Amino acid sequence: MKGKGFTDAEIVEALQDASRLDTTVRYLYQTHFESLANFIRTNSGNDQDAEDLFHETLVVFIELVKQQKFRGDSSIKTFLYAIQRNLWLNELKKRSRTSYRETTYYDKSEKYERDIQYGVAQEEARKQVLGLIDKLGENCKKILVLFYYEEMSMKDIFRQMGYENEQVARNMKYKCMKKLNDMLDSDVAVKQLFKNLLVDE
Amino acid sequence: MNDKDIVRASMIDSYLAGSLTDEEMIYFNKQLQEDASLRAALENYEISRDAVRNYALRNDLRHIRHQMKQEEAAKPSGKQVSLWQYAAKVAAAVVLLIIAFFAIQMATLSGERLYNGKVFPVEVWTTRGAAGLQEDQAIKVLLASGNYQQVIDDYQAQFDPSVTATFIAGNAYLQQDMTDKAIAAFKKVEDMNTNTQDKRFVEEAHYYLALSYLRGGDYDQALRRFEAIKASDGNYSQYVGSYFLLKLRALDWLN
Repeated sequence: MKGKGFTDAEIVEALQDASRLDTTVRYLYQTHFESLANFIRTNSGNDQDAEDLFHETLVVFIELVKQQKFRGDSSIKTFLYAIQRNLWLNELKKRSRTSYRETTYYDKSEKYERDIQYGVAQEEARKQVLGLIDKLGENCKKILVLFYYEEMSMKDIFRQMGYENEQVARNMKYKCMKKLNDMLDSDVAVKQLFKNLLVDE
Repeated sequence: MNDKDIVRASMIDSYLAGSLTDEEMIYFNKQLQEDASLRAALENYEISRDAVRNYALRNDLRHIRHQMKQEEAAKPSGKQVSLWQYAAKVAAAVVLLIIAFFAIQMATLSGERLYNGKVFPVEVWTTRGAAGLQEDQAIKVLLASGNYQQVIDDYQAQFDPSVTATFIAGNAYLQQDMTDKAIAAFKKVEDMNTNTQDKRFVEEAHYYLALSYLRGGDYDQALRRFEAIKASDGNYSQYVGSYFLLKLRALDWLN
């Protein structure tokens, strides 16, 4: 990624590299936020909705890129628009309190539309688990993020967290994960959501 | 919690990370087939790992956005920027107006316009001492009455015209657009004044000679003469402004 303008391929490549996330996300905001925000503002949304929706759109986009589900069939701009449109329609349905939920996610002919609807549905399911993560203590959240997101070794984690040794860190991580998994076990609906997604995929 | 649980958890993590050895992989897959609780644990680990990563990604995005907003807030405010932009627009408009003004001035620039702006009736009524020569008085009357051709005729009929008569004739020639003769007459006045103690119409002759060059289209000579008048700081220098000289220079340059 050199210079001010990045190609779609460069953005996709950069999103796989955690060290380039900051630059890439900033670029996506600078390039696409205003036009996507205008879509929300002109479709019953306000500035805060536009801000929240763009954040959510980026999350779905980045997750799909990591799953190799952005194949360049469309431009990133078109892809982001499609994600946001799906998210916003879902949000408007929730707000109008209609009981309707899309049970079939893949009713569009475009391949990328199917991927997007899968990504949006996946994100809905994830949000349920995020609610469970929020119930964990701060240390638990931190150690799990360091291990699974930052992909740090236990040796580095025990140093960073100030634990006595590596084994203490390992035990701590195990406890935190068990706590989260126990909460998952007790929430059948959330697990079922994920299972459905895996089957549909 | 016992060591066996922790070892199993490590195996699941390694399996998901794809870092098991071939031997460990065979063993783990065999365990998966035989142990339903391991399959359930693996499923939970997969969901939790994915959710933790998503949680961290969301935090990162929020942090980046927060930083972007702080950086935007630290920049000069929109109002200040728009004031600068407004000032720049006003300055640009003023520059454009000035350019337009000069463009119009240059487009309408002509020797005739410059000449008409500087020519005015010459005053020859004040004479020193005696009433002056009879011929001079007559020619003054003719000039004042606008009978320029008669002035010229009378002047040409004179055998030895005075400085006054020559100066008045110069003015009559100028009025009749006979610029070559006007130039000759005013030059003669200058020569005559050079050779006498009784100098008359000295500054007037310089000024009307410059005007004659201007009227005749010799802008180079006109410019040199007018510049000399302005530099002399005499009575006529007040009629030769810098802007007039600028226009005359432009006219000279354009021609």
